[in-house]
Amino acid sequence: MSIRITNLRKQFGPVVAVGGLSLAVGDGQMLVLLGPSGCGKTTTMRCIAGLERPDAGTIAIADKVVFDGNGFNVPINQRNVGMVFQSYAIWPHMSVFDNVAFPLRVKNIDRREIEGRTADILTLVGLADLAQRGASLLSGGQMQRVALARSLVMRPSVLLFDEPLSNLDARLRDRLRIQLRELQTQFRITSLYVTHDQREALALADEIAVMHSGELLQVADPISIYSHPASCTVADFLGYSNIFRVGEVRPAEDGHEIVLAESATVLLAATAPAEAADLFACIRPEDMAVAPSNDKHSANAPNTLLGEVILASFMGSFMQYRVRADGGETFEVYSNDILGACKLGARVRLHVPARSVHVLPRI
Amino acid sequence: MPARSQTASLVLKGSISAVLFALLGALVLVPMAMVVYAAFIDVLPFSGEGEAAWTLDNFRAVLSPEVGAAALNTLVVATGGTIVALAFGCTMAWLAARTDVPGKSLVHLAGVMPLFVSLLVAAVTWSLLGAGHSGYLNIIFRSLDVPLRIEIRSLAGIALVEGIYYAPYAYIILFGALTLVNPDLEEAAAVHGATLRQTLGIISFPLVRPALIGSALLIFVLIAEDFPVPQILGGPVGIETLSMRIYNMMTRIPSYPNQAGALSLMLTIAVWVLVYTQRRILAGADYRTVTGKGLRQRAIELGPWRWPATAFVVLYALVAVGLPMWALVQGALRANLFIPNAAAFFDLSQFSLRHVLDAAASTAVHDGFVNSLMAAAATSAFGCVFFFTLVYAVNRTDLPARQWLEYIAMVPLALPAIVLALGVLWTWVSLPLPVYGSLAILVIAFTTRFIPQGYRTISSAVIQIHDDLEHAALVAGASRWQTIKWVTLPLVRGGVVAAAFLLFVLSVREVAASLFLYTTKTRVLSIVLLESYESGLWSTVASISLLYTVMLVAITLVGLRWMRPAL
Repeated sequence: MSIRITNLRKQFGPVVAVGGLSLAVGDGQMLVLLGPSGCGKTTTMRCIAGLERPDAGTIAIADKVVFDGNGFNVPINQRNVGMVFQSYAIWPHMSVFDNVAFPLRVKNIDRREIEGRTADILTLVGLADLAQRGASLLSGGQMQRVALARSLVMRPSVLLFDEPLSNLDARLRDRLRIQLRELQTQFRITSLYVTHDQREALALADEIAVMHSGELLQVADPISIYSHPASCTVADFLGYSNIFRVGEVRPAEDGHEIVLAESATVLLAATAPAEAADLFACIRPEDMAVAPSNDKHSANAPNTLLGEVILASFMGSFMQYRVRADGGETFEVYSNDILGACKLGARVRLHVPARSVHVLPRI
Repeated sequence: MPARSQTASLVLKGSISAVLFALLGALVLVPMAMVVYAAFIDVLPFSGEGEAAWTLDNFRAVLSPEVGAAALNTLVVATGGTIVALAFGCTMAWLAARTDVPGKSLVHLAGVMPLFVSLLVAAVTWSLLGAGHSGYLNIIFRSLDVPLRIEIRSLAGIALVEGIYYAPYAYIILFGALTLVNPDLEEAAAVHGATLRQTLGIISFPLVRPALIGSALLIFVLIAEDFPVPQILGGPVGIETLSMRIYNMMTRIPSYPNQAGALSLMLTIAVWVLVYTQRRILAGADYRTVTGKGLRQRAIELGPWRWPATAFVVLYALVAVGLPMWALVQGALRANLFIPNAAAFFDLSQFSLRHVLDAAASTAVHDGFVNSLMAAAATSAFGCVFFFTLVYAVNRTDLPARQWLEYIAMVPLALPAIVLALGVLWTWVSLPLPVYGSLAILVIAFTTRFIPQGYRTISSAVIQIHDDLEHAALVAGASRWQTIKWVTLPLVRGGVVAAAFLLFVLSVREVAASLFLYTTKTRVLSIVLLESYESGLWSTVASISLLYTVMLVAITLVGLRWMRPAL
C-alpha cells in the first residue's frame, strides 16, 4: 500500500475537519476523495503532504511512517510528495523551466541531470517549446501542465491533486482530465485526487472515497459505487436527483412495496431495503422513462405514474424534464428520445423499473 | 529519514518568538512603561537622584490653566486642520477619481506632492510668507493696495498650514476608496431608476463613508500630536499646544520632567481613544470590491464646471507647493532681509548665493546632513530586516502568540512622537550602555516610530502572495530557508524596497522623535534647522530649508518608482 492513513483526526478550534478517518491507496492506484466543500477532503490531503499537522492518527507513505501522533513528524520537504495545487502555485518570477527544475535544484542534483530530466518532463506534458517563457505569461491550462510537470519531475512516492481542474473552463477541463488519466495509467503513480465534481471523480478514479462531515461514507470502484450507493447521502452526491422519504415498506410478490411519506404514492423496489429507521427512495434521472400519456390503462401498471411536464430543457445529447406527478412529487427525468420530445405542459406517463428504485438509509 | 522531534521544534519556535517579543517590547513597550512610571513618581526614573516615591502630584500640577489653554489650542488646531485637509483632499480625490477634469495625472501629482514637503520646512516657508508686516504675501498685498493682511502666526494660520500638508492623507485614502468601488454598483442603481444625485447619495457616499471617517480621525490625531508646525508658527507669539507644552516642560529651566510624563500619558490616552474609535468604525466596513479586472470608472462630465475645477487644483498646488518654494528661494537667495515692496522681489541685484554657500559650508549643517543620512540609512536597513521577520512570523508561521506581535507593532500609531522621544530618552539614559549620545538612540526612536508604516508596507506585499506558492516549494523538497530565499523574498522584493525608501524619507523628515535624544555631535538636519530658527537666523534657516528640500526631493525622485504611498 502506498498511502495508509489510520484514525486521522484534525480539528480547527471547535470544528472537526477530519474525524478519525482511515484510508488506504494501493500501489499505482488513483483514489479520488469526493465530497462537498467543507467535508474535510482537502484537509486530509494537506495532512498527507505535511501542510497541516494532524491532532491524532498515523500516516504512512510508501510503507514509511511520516506521522504517528506521538511527536514523530517528517517535515514537508522530506516527504517526497508531489502536489498539484488548486491555484497551480506557479512561481511568477521564474521561467517554466526554472519552475519545473526547482525540486531537483533544491536537492543539489548534478546540473546536467537536472537539465535532462526537466527537458524530458516538459516534452511529456507538451511544454518543451515554452521552457524559457516567464511563468506569469501562461494560460490556465499551461499553468496546470507546468504544475503537473513540476510534481512529476521529482519522481514522487505519491502524487496529490487538489481540485486541479476546477479553475478551468469546461472544454479545457474535459481535455486535461483525459490527459491526466492517460499519464496516470501510463506511469502508474500512486495518486490521491480531491474534487467535488462527481463526473470528474467517476472518470478518473480507480477507487472513489465519498466524504461527508469529516468521515468516509463509502469506498468502492466507480462503477459499483455509482450503481450501488450505500446511502442516500452518497446517492445524492452521485447525481441521484429523485430522492423521496419513505413512509412504509411492505413485502410484495416480486420485491417490496414502498409508500412515499409525502404523497402515499406506491413504488415497487426489486432489492430489499436496509434495516434503518430513516429510509429514502433514490432514483437516477436517466433510469426514468417518459412518454406522452395517451393510454389511460397503463396508469395502473406498477411503477407507472401520470403527470405534467413543468420544465423541458434541451441539453444536446438528451432532454431534461421536470415532471409533477399527480401524487404531488416532482421527478427529474433525462430522456434520450430527442425527436419525440414532450412539450411544456404536456400530460405524460412516467415509468421506472423496479430494479432502479434504490431504498437507502440516510447515511 | 531525519525528522525533527516535537520538543526540539517547540523549543526553536519558543526561542524565535521570545527574541521577537523581546526586541519589539524593548522598542515599544519599555519606553511607554518608562513614561507611565515617570508620571507617578517624584524623581527622574532610574536616575540615581534618591529614592523614588509614588505620587499623584504630577497630575495635580498638570491640571493648570496653561495646560487647559494648550489643550484648547490643540483641539482648535486639530479640528480646523482636519476640516481644511478634508476639504482639499476629498475634492481633489473626487476630481481625480471620478470626473473628466483635464490633466488627471497632474491632479494626482498635486494631490500627493505635499506629502514630500517636510512639515518643518513648510512651517518655515509659511512663516516667511505670512508672518506680520514682513511676510512676503503681506508685502505684495500692501504694494498692490489690497486691503488684506494675513497673520499665519495664529491658531487659524497653524490650522491652515496643518490642513494643507495633511490633505494628501485624505486624498490618498479617498482616492483609493473611490477608485475601488465597483462601478457596477453605481450603474445598477442608475439602471434601477436612480438619478445621478440619488446614486451619489444612496450608493456612492455610504460606500466611501468609512474611508471619510477613517481619514478624518487619522488626520485629527496626526495634527493633534504634531510638533514642528505649532512650534515654528505658534512659539514666537506664545501659542502653545500640548506637544509644545511637553517640550517646554522638558527644556525650560526649571524643568518638570515628571509633569511632562503625566501630560504625555494623558495625551497618549486621548490619542489612543481616537485611534481605537477609528479602528472600530473601520472594522468590517470596508466595502471596496477588489477584483483582478481593471475597473473602468464612468467619469462624471463636469461640463462648464471643468474650468473652476482646474482653477481649484492649480490654486491648491500653488498654495501647497508653488508659493512656499518661491518663498524659500527668495528667503535663501536674498542678500539682505529688508524688502520694501513687491517690486523688490524681482530685483536681481538683491540676490546672492552667499547665505546658501555659507550654510552649505558650515560644519553644523554638514554634520547634520551626514547624521540625518546615516540615521536614516541605519533605520531603513535595520527596519526592513526586522519588519520582514515580524511580518513573516505573523503571517507565515505558527509561532505561539504571533498575533500579539502585530498588535504591539501597531501601538506606535497611537504614540505621539514627542512622548516616544521622552520614553526612549528615559529608557536608554538609565542603562549603562553607550547608546545615549550616539546616533543609535535616534535610530531606535525612528525605528519605533515607523514600525506601523514599515510593517504595513511589507505585510501588504506578503499577504498578496498566495501561500500555495510557498507550500509548493516546501512540498517540492525545499527547506524553510530555501523557500524564503528563492520564493518569498523575490516575490516581496518590491514591497521591501518600498518600505526601505519610505523609512528613509520618513526618518530624514522626522523632527519630534529626535527631540531630547540628540547631543551636539548627533544633531540631525531637522534639529539644526529648528535650532537656527530658535536663534533667529532667518537667512540660514531659509538656506538650510532649501538644501533640506532639495535633498528630500532628490531622495523622493530616486525612490518614487518603488514608493507606494503607505500610510
